[in-house]
Amino acid sequence: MTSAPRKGRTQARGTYSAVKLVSPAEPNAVTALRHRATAFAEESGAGPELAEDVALAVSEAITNVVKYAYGPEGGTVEFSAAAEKGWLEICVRDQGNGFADGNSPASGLGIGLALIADLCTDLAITQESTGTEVRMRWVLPAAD
Amino acid sequence: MSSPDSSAGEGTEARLKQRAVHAEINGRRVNEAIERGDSDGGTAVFVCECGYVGCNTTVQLSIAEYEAVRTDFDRFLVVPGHEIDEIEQVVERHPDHLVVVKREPDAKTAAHATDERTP
Repeated sequence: MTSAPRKGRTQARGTYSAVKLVSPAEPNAVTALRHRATAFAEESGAGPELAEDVALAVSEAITNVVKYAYGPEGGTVEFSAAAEKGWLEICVRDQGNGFADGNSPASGLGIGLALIADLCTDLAITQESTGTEVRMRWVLPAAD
Repeated sequence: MSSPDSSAGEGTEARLKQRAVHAEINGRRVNEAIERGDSDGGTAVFVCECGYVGCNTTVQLSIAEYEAVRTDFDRFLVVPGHEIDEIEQVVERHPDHLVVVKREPDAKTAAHATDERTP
């Protein structure tokens, strides 16, 4: 379902590692990308609880894209993850409607964002005419 | 997958319960997308709305069966064995799925606040 990683390197904590995937914005993308995010977090040094926070936040971000970004014509969701210098960063992007067409922050779209905000260290949302980007960051535990 | 067991410390247990509630709410939101994508009104493969974050289990139900689960804001669909006694109570048992409701006020509040069908 998802395309092959465009970029990736074996992760050693404190060094740069990244992965990027593009998937159809369909419900099964939630599970697939959640698993990819969990694996990446664990490879980057996240413990079980942090990995679960990452999994849930990514699930919510992908769910928002699947539910709200596109009309019946559908579209894609782009997932990218990077780890560097004690930070884990995951971005979820779409090319859809964002908060337009009645998707106000108080709607179901906003519910997902509120959950994400509760799960990550930093959250930045960028809304442009070309789509929406949700950028989530977590502090990784210090290396032993 | 971790579950909110009673051996955890108080703060940790609260965090695990909160995470389980989040996981269930996310499962429900995914199922709403699945239901929306089912144009013929027949059956669809729904995800388990349990509190285990890594759960991949699915169950095939008719749209009518899923709608029967969703008759109130705090009712969730889980597969047998995935119910978490600490946060929910089984109120219906079917061959392939259970219906659970939240036990605790905070979980009920979260379920209510995130249910787009509830005014």
